[in-house]
Amino acid sequence: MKTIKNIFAILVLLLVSQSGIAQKKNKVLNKVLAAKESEYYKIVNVPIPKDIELEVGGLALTNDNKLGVSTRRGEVWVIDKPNTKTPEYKLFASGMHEVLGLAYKDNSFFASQRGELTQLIDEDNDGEADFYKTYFSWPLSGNYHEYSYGPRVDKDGNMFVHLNVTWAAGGQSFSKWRAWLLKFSPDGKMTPFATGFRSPAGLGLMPNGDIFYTENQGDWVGSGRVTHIEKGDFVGHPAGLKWSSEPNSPITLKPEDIKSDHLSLYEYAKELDALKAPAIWLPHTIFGTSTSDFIYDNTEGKFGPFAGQVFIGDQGNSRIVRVFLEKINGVYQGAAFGFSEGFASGVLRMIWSNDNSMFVGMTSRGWSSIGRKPFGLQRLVWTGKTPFEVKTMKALADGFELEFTKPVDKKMAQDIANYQLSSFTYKYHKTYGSPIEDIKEAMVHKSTVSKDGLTVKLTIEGLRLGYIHQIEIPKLKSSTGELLLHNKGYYTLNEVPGGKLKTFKKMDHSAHKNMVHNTKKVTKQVKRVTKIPTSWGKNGADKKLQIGTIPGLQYNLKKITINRNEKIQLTLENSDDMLHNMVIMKPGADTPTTVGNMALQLGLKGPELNYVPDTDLVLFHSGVVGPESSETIYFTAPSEPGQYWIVCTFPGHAFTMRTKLIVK
Amino acid sequence: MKHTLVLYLSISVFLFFGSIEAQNKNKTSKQVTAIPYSVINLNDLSAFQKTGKNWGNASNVSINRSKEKTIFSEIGTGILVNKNNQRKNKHLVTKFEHGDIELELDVMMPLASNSGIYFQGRYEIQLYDSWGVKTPTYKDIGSIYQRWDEKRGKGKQGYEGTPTKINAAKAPGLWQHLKIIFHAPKFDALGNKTKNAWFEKVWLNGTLIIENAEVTGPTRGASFQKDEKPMGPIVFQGNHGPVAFKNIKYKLYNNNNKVIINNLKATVYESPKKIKKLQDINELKKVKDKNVKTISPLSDIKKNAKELIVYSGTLTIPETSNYLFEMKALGGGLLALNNKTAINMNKNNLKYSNYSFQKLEKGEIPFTVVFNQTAKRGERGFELFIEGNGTQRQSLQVKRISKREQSLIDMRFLLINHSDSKTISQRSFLMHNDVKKTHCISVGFPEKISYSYDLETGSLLQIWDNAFLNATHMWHSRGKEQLGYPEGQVIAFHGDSDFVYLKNDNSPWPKENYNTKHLLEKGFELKTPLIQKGYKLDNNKNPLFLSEIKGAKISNKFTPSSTDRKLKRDITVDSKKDIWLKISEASTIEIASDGTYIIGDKNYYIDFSGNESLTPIIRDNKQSKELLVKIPAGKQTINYSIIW
Repeated sequence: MKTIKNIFAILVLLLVSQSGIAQKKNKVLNKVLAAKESEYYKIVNVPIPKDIELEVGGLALTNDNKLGVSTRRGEVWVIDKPNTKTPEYKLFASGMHEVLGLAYKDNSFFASQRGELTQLIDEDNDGEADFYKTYFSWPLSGNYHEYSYGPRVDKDGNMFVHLNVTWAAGGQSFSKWRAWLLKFSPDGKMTPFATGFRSPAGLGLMPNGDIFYTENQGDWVGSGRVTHIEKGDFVGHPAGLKWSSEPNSPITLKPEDIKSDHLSLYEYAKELDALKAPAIWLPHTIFGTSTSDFIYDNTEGKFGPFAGQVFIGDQGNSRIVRVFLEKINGVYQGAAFGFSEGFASGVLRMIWSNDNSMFVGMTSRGWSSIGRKPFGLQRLVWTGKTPFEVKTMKALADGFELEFTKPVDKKMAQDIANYQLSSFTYKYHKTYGSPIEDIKEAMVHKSTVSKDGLTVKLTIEGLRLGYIHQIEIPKLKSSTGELLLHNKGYYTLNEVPGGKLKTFKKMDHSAHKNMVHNTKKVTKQVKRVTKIPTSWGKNGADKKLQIGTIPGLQYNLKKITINRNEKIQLTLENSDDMLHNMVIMKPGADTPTTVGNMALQLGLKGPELNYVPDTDLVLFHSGVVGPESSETIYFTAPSEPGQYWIVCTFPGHAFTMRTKLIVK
Repeated sequence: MKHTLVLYLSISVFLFFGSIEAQNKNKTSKQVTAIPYSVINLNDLSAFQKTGKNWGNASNVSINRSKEKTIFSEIGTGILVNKNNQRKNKHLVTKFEHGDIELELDVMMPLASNSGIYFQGRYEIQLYDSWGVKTPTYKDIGSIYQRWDEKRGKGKQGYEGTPTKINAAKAPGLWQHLKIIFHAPKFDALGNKTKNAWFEKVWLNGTLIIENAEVTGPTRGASFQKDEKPMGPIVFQGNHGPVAFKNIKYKLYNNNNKVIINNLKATVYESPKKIKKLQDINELKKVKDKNVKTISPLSDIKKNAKELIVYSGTLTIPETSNYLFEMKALGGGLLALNNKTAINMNKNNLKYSNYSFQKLEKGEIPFTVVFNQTAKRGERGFELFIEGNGTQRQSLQVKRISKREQSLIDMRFLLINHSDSKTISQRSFLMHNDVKKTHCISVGFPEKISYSYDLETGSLLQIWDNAFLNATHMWHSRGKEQLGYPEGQVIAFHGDSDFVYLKNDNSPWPKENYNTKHLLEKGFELKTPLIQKGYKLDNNKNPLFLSEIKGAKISNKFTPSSTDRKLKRDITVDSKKDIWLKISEASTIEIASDGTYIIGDKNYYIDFSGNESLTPIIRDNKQSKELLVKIPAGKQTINYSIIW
C-alpha cells in the first residue's frame, strides 16, 4: 500500500509540473478578463494521474468528503484529499455505459448510464463497488444522442433523472420517456414528471425544493436557458409529447398541438397554457454555447458575496456564468452575469467541496470546447477579495434595482448616461437556434442611489414583458475607483411587481426619438458576395471549391490551395449539427485568434453581422450556415501569394475551426 | 402537415442505408460475384491417387470426446475420413498438382489426433488437436511444421517452422475451417530456385494465424524430401491419427500471373453529381491533366475537392480467361474495358461491391477507371480488384492515404484488453445477428474467454476467445455508433429471451420486434416482462446477473475453464410455475455418444451433464431446432457448459 502511495506521489508531482505548462498554453475567451477574474476567483488544477482518462460525466461528494467522479468511459473514481496537491485516486466502479451523472445517497453512488439508473453498492467496504444494482432501466433505440443525466436527489430522497432527445434530423423521442424528466421516489416508483426537454445537461434543486434545469440551444430552442420545472410542465421541445397518451403521463398535450414560428416562447405560452417559459435566457455565444450544470451557492458567503445565487456551467465556452433569481407573482426570473472563464476543458459538472471551493469537472470529446484539453478536473477558489460587481438585479414595475457588491461612486451612479439598456427575444420555432429578434433600445430616465451607495434604482422607459433586457454599465466606478469586473447583465422579464408595467410618461418625445429603433433591418455586408458577379462574364469562376464541416468544430480540410487573382467560387456545406460560417482572413499566425476574439466582442450584434467583425483582417466571408445547409460565396483570390486563412468565427469556434488557404 | 413531412423526411434519412442494402442484395443475387472454386468430389476417392484402406468416405463422422484418436463414421458420401485403423496407414495424395494455390476446407480433429496438409507434398500445415493450447508451437494446428536435418546433430535436427500467432483451435470433434494461400517456389530457366515457397496467409476459424511465412525447403516428414519443384500434389497425412475433411475446394493460380497496368494517364474534372454513361466524361469541365504512375484516386484528388478523376491506359491480361472485377466507391465510380462500360455506379458506399464478370483475351486491352468524389464530410473511399481463373485477386489501386485517414476508416484504435488477474466488463450497444442491442454487457476473463450478455432480455448473446473488445466506435469523438465490437470470432446464440413462460410444450418461443420502422413510428419499448436487477461482482469481479420475470427470481453466472475453450453457465431459478430455458437454436442439433449436444454443423457443444434430474428436449420449430429445458417450479439450479 505504501509503495502505491509513493507511486501516486511521483505521478502527482509529474502531473503538477505538466499541467503547469499546459495551463499556459490553454486558450481563454478573453485573456485580460480571465486574468482579472483570477484575482478574485482562482482556477486550481486537481492533478489527474497520466493513465486515467477522466472524461468527467458526473461529480458527487461522499459523506467523508471524498470526491466521486463518473466518466464517459463508464468508470467511477473516488478521489481522497481532492482539494490537495496530492489527491489519491481509487477506481470504485467500471464498465458502465457513458455515466453522465452521479449522486451519493444511502451510502452508495447512484449513476445514470445511457440505459439505466444504477445504484453502486460497496457491500464489503473495500472501496470498490461489488453490486451494480439496476434501480430502473429505460429503453433505448440505439442512437448516440440518447444521453441520460442525473440523478439529483431532493431532501426527501426523491431522485430526478433527465433523458436527452434522440438526434435523427432533429430531436426525436424514439424510445419511451426520451425528452422527459423522471422522478424516482425512495420506494423505487418511477413517475414521469415533465417533458419538453431537448438536451437538459444540468438539473438544480433549490433549498426550498424547487427544481430548475438548463437547456441547450438547438431545434425549438433559440438559446441556452434556465427553466423552473413543476410536475406536468411542458418546457418547449415537442419530441417527448409522443408519450403523453401513456396512462401515467401528467400531460395531455399532443405533438401536433405545437405550432412552429412564434415570436417567442413567452408569447406562445400565453396562448398555450401547458407551455412553460424559461426563468432565464442565457444569450447564445455571449454567455456560452452549450449550457451545462446548475449549482446553488449554499456556502453562506464562504465562496464570496453571491450566497443564495446560482452558477451555471458552459461546456463549449469552458466557463461559468452567475445567475440571480427572484420570484415575482409566483414566477421565477432574473439576471445572468459573467463570472469565470478559462477552464481547461468543456465545463460539464460543478459541485461544492467541503472547503467551499467549487469542483469543476470537464470533457470536450466530440463537442470541442475553448479550453483545449480533452478532459479535466479543476477547482474554483475564492481568494477572499470581493470583486466590484452587480450583485443583484431586481425587477420593478418601472425599472430595475441594482445592488452592488461595493459602494458606487455616487456621482457617476446618478448619471443616467452610464447605463445602456436594450431588449430582445428569441424565436420559438422548429429551426435550429434563433436570430436575435425584435431588438429595441430602452432609456434610463432616472437613477436614484441609496444612502450607503450599494443600491441604484433605475427608472426605465421601454421595458417589455417577455423580453431579455441587456444592461451595460461600462464606465461606472466604485467609490474606490474600480470598474465593474463584468459590466453586462441579461435580465429575463416575465413579470413585474404588481403585475403591470408602469410605463414612464415620455417628457420629451423628440429627445429620444433616435434612441428607439428597430434594428431588424438587414445590415449590408460588402465582403459577403453570394451571387456570381456579373463582371465575371460567361465563363464564371476559374475554380469551384467546396469545404465541409465535421463534428468537433472542424472543417473537413486542413488546407486549400488557389492561384492568385483566380476567380473563386467557394461553398460551405455544413453537415454538422451546429451553426458555422467561413471567413477568409489575411495571413498571420495570430489572425484567426484576433478576429475570433473580435467576433466574441460583437455581443448582441453578432447574429446580425454573421459573427463577422468589421476589420481589414477580413477579406471575404459567408453568412451563418445552419445544420444541413450550405452557402456559396464568390471572390477574387488575393494578388499577393501567401498563407491566408479560412476560419469559422462563430463564437468559440475560431480556435479549432480553421483551414489554411494557400495563395500561389 | 409540416410536421408530418418532417417526420417523413427523418424516417427516410434513417431508412436510407437500409434500402441501399436491400437494393444491393437484389442486384448482386443475379450477378457473378466470385470466381468459382474447384471442388474436390468427396463422393468417392476418385480425385486421389490410389491409397490405403484407412481412407474412405462418410456421410457423418463423430468422435469420442474422452478417448484419444477415435473416429466413427456413418456410411455415405460428402466427407473424407482417415480412420487410421490399418496396420499401415497411408497418406492421401491428390491427382491434381499445384503451384500457387488458395485452399479452403473443413477439418475435424479427434481427441489428441494428429495430421497435416503437405502443399506440393513438401510443405506442411500441421493439423493437431490443439484445443486449449495457450502458447502455440510449430506442432499446433495451422502452424508450418519444422524442417529436419540429421546432419545438424543431436537435438538440433529440427529447425525453422512457424507457429501460429494465436491459437484459434476449436474443440476436438467440431468442424474447423482452414483457408490457406500458398505460393510455390520459383525457378529460373536453368531450374535454379530464385524464390522460396511461402505461405501468404493462413486463417483458422476466421482468425488470421499466419502471414507471409517463408519455407526454405521441405518440412519434416514430407513425401518429397529431396527436391523442390514448381508443381506438386497435395498430400493429406494419414499415419499419425484419424482425421476427417469436408468442403475441400481450391483455386489454382498460374505461377506469376499478374495483371499489369500500362500507358497510364489521368485527367481531373469538376465533379458532376452523376455519370450516366462513359461518354458523359467528354462533357465535363476539365481541371487539369495529372501525371500519375499508379491508380491512386484517394491521393490524386484532395480530400474534399468535388472532383472526378479519369484514369485510362491498357491492362496486360496474362491469359485468355474469365475475369471478375470488383469495385467499391464512396461517391461514384465507373469501369470501362475495351471502351465498353463494365461497371457504373453513383452514390455507392464502401460496404457494397459492384461486379463485372467477363472473358478477356490475352494481351493489351484499353481500360478507363473513374472515381467521382461526391461524398460529404470528407467521407470517401475507393477499391478496385481483379481476379481471374488462374489469376490471384489483386488490387488495381495503390492506396496512398495518411495513417490517420486509414485508422479512421479501420476504427480500431481504442481497444480494451483483458486483465491478467481480474474479470473485466464493459457495457455498450452491440450488433447481434444484424440487430442493434442496447443494454448489453461484455465480460472478459483473464483466461482470454469473453462473452456478451443482454441485460434487457436476460440472454447470453455470444462468446469468443482471443482479445476482448474494440471500443473505438464508443470512445472516439461523439461515439456515433456506441457499439462495442468483439476482438475475436464469435459463436452467436439466438438473441431471444432465454427464459420464458410457455403455455404448453408446443407454444412457439416469443420473438422481440426490433424492426427499425416500428421503432420510429411507434416509439420503442421492449415488451419483455423481465425486470433487470443488476449484477454482483465476486472477488475476481466476475458478475452474477440478477433478474425477475413475473415474480420468478433468476440468476446467471458464467465461469471459464482455466484449461480449455469452455464457458460454464450456472443458473438459479425460483419460480412458482414451470419456466422454460432456450439454450440454443440451430439448423441441426445432435446428441453425441456421451450425451453432449452438438449444435449447428458441429459448431459447438453444450454439455448438460451436471444436472441430475433435468434433461433438455430438442424441439423442431420448422425453421430450426431448439434446445430447450423445462425448469420445474420451485428453487432450481441448472448448469451447462459451452465448449468450442
